[in-house]
Order: sequence, then C-alpha cells, then structure tokens
Amino acid sequence: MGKEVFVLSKSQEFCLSLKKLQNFIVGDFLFFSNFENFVSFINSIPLDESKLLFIFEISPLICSYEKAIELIKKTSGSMSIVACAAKASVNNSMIAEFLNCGADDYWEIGMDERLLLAKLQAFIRRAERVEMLRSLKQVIFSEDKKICLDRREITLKILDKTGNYTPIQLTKKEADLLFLLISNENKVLNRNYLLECVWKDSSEDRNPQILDKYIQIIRKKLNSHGKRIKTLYGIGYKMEAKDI
Amino acid sequence: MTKVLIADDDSTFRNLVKEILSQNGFEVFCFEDGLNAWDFLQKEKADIAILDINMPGINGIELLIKIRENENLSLMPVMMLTVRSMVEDQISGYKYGADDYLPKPFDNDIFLAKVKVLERGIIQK
Repeated sequence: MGKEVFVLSKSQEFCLSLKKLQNFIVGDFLFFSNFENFVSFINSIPLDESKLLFIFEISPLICSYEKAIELIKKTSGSMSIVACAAKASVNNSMIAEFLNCGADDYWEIGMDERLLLAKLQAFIRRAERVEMLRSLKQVIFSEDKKICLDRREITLKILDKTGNYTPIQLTKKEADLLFLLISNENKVLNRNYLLECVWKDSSEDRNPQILDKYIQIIRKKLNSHGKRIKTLYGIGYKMEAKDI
Repeated sequence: MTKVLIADDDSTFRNLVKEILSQNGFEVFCFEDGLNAWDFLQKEKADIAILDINMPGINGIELLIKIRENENLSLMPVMMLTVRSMVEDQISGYKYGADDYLPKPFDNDIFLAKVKVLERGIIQK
C-alpha cells in the first residue's frame, strides 16, 4: 500500500523540490498532493493507513499553527507533521514552539534537496519501524485496559467487575480484525483497508459483506463493549478508546 | 522518567546537554567515548541516544550503526549532535539511521524541543 505525503505550501519551488524526490524513493512509495488551503487539506485526509507525513508551510494561509497541528493530530493520530518556512521568516524560538506544539520536525524552505531526501527517508524508516513493531506485538490492551487481545492464544479477554479477565476464544480472522481496531482506537479504518489487511492471503471469499459479518460476531463476543465499534456507513469502522 | 544517553568527548557540550535535560525531568547518562556508551547500552536500557560524531574509540556513526543493527536497540530514537555541519555529514547521519541531526553550536530551546519530539516517538516494546 502506498504512503502519502501531503504538502501545503504556497511555494511552487518547494513543492517541485519535494515532487522531484519521488524519483529517488524505491518502490513507488510516495504520492504528493498540493493543497491550496488548510480546509481542503483536512477534507482530503484519507480514512485509511496510507498517510505518512504532512508538510505545511507556516504562512498566513494558516492563522494559528497551534490549532492547525492540533487539528491534524486529531484527524490522523499516526501522521507525522513537519512545519516548514523560509529561513528569514522564522526565528529559533518560533521553531522550538512549532516542535513543542506537536510538529515532528522543522524544515527550511530552500534546503539542499539531498538533505530533504535524507530527512524524508528517515521519516519513512521510522514509520516502517513502528509498523513492524506493531505487527510483532502479541498482547495488546484497549486504552482503558478493559479489553485485552492475546494473539498467541487467539483469545479475547474482558475485564469483569471482580477485576479479572474473562477469556473468550476467537478465530484467527476475528483476532486479526480486532487487533487492527484496538491498535487504532478512535481512528476510522476504511473498509477496503480492513479487507486488504485481514483477507489478503485468504482463499475465503473477499466479498465486502464478510467484513460486516465478522464485525457483528466480534461485537457479540465483546459483550457490553461491542457498542464501542462504531459503523461509519459506506466508509468503515472505528473502535472507541473508552467505554462511554 | 525518560533515560537519555549522551556520548560526547567535549566536556563543555556534554555538561551543557546534561544540564538542559536534567533540569527538564530527563534522567541523563553521560559518556565521553563511544565504547563506554556502547557497553552501557548493552547492559542498561536508555530510551533516547544523543551522539557526537568525532569521539575516540568508536565514533558516533559507528555507534549509530551498532544501535540500528542490534535487535534490542534498533528502535531507539537517536539524535546526532555534532560540529560536523556540512550537508554531506548530515545526509550520512540520516543514511545510517539517525532520527535527527543537530549541528553545534545549537539553540538550547530547539535542542530541548527536538529531544521532546524524540521522546514522543519512543516505541514501547
């Protein structure tokens, strides 16, 4: 699956420099999109896991970068954010502030293209490391610790009123699907993404309705926590981090 | 408390970095060469590593390579903090697996903010 880099900048030169980098990334990995304004960017964030990086220029286009960073983080928790600006337009304390607000890096517009590529590759590597580790994790908990998924034993464990976990047996596919939902709590997971991840090596019919069927089974097994899996009709599913 | 390893043979910078981080709630372990830093990393656990490049014994890039090749340490965020500020040096740092590269002398606020970014990115095994 491709990873997308979003660029919000008025500087055509900077966008062009970034676009040129696509030729150096192995495996047709990156797709760049330019956005004329912040609202069109937010509306274009895909509801799947293809997001990698958002590079935005500090400019009058964005009246408050603190709010902008907060909004991006809220919309896409896994997406890294890079603030960029022309050297003359920012000072050191502003750069420190971007980073303290939640930006993951600061890039200077006009920096050497080779360095730009090296920094971009560092982000890709980091994302791959996170992905690899996530796939290796065998036991995960929901944020409120009320749901535990043990992938070794293919068992779901639900915290009961006595403070003990009650085990419930799952099938491999149910565990794979629940793993994606728990490890991406509060994020919308696209239907196609879920089908691709869980049924990619399966000879089982990949009819989209099979996903709904499995969700129905998992909801039942989650008992009172089943309602935490929200349906976004025509889009996908989201697991609420807390039992409301 | 986040544990930060610092490997730098320049005592001025080592002490400055230690002071900035200690004052901001980090637990700091300082080493003046790469070999002792590597020994520490194999025995103890650090969450973040900040490495100078020019050091006796193992230099910062060699230490970075060892970290990335080690199964238990490969996910640790690493920042290169060095007087080597040429673009080629920075590219080489990133190429070998650095998460960030800050040339000396540095702005204290930017340095601290960058370490906090690395702290946010710590991956729990």
